[in-house]
Amino acid sequence: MSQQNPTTTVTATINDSEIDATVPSRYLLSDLLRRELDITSVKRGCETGKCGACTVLMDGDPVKSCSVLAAQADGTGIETIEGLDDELGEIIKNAYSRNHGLQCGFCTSGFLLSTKSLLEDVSDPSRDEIRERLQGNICRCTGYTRIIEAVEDAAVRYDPE
Amino acid sequence: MKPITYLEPETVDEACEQLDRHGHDAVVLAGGQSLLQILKRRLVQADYVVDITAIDDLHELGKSDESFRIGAAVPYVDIVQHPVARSQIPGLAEAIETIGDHQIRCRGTFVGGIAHADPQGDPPIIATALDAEFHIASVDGTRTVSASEFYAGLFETDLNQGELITHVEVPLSEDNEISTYQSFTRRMGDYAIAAVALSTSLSNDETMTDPRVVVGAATHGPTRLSSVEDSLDDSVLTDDIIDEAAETARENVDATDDEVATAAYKSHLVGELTRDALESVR
Ligand SMILES: Cc1cc2nc3c(=O)[nH]c(=O)nc-3n(C[C@H](O)[C@H](O)[C@H](O)COP(=O)(O)OP(=O)(O)OC[C@H]3O[C@@H](n4cnc5c(N)ncnc54)[C@H](O)[C@@H]3O)c2cc1C
Ligand code: FES
Ligand code: FES
Repeated sequence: MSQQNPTTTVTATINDSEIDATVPSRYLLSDLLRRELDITSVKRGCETGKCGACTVLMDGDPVKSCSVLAAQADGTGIETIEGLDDELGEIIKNAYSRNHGLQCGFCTSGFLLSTKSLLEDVSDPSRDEIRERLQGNICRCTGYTRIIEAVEDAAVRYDPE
Repeated sequence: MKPITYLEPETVDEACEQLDRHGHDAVVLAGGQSLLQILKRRLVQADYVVDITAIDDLHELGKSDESFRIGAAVPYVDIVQHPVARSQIPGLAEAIETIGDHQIRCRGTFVGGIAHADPQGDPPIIATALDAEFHIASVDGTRTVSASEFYAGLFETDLNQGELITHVEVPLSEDNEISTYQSFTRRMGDYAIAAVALSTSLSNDETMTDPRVVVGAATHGPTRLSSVEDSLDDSVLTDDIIDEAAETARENVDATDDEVATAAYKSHLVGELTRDALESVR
């Protein structure tokens, strides 16, 4: 290849701020967020698309940032837990805290963002819907029961209109 | 991941030119859910990654004439939410809902799953049962190939270097046409150990005509079970017919043996999944 390490310029909105970064084209979205922008709440667990610790919202959809190229985020809006400061975000964070939906916290950013996407789509999900939508996030500490209770609690407190 | 050059063509022609120009050094990127894992592990070497998702034409999804068209840039989640897919091609929605998890389905594409041709993957199996047609483009023009002709064994397909699948067309059933997808996984979201897809016409008195029964995951790629199809064709779906079809499926499937499960176990699963498929359309 002629060029040693080709680069790409990514323009995106990350938690309401505009960024414009030139990174190696092989950078994953998780590399852009962690290495370039220092948003270390985005965790790297498996890097193979299985654990969900690296989940962020991309134009509102939950995606595993280890399985998206930074270049593919060009022109999109990305949300990490730093952006979870709106009403729904606060409700979700408080519900996880109140229900002991976390222990070590490594998986938590991913769970919070998957929960936000779920409650935006379905404000009153059943237990099965919660399990189904959180299936792409793995937690090694809680045993999931507390997490599901946290989501149910958040759903009760959240009133979309 | 090794260094790559990222290309983002805006038309199919431009994509085909790039694939042609860079030959072996180029690879198509759709949702990236499989490709990026492979590039990270350096199982595939590619200097040029051609992202096809900025091509407007490839975002088409919906009814076109007598078929349902799925563009190469359409993610799984959009397909299962489409009213035509849900109501007229239930087997397609059932197959997609078993794939990975919500995040994977937000990014991954059905056509990517078709092209990836993982023997454990769900899209090739349901596409074969639905008799889908794959539309392929390259600098030499376009061509169409049926799902059954496309798969040639373990990870082998009819796709040549420099070719791109632009969209898949699923023929739209007459009113009585029905489909289902049954698979067995150890945990929710895992790749299947065995899967059976069925599509058929079914009259009001439950007589089947032209059934297509396709088994996958347990075999080297999607395989039609013609002995089962023959036993079901023009038959009414009674308990006896279902028992017989399940037994025929179990006996005739050429299941693989691997570290996950033995061939005998997979054959047993194929029999039971055939039964589930028939009972679900009854
Ligand atoms: C954790 C995890 C679990 C999964 N579970 C399942 C599962 O249970 N069942 C299942 O079926 N799949 C599963 N998958 C795979 C998933 O379905 C992939 O998204 C899909 O196989 C590929 O679609 P993609 O759009 O991501 O394609 P990509 O990853 O972008 O591409 C895959 C391959 O196809 C080629 N390609 C893509 N599009 C085209 C095209 N239009 N023309 C020519 N070549 C093309 C690429 O060059 C590449 O070789 C899983 C993946 C992960 C990470
Ligand atoms: S680090 Fe991305 S899914 Fe595990
Ligand atoms: S709280 Fe430790 S992994 Fe979930």
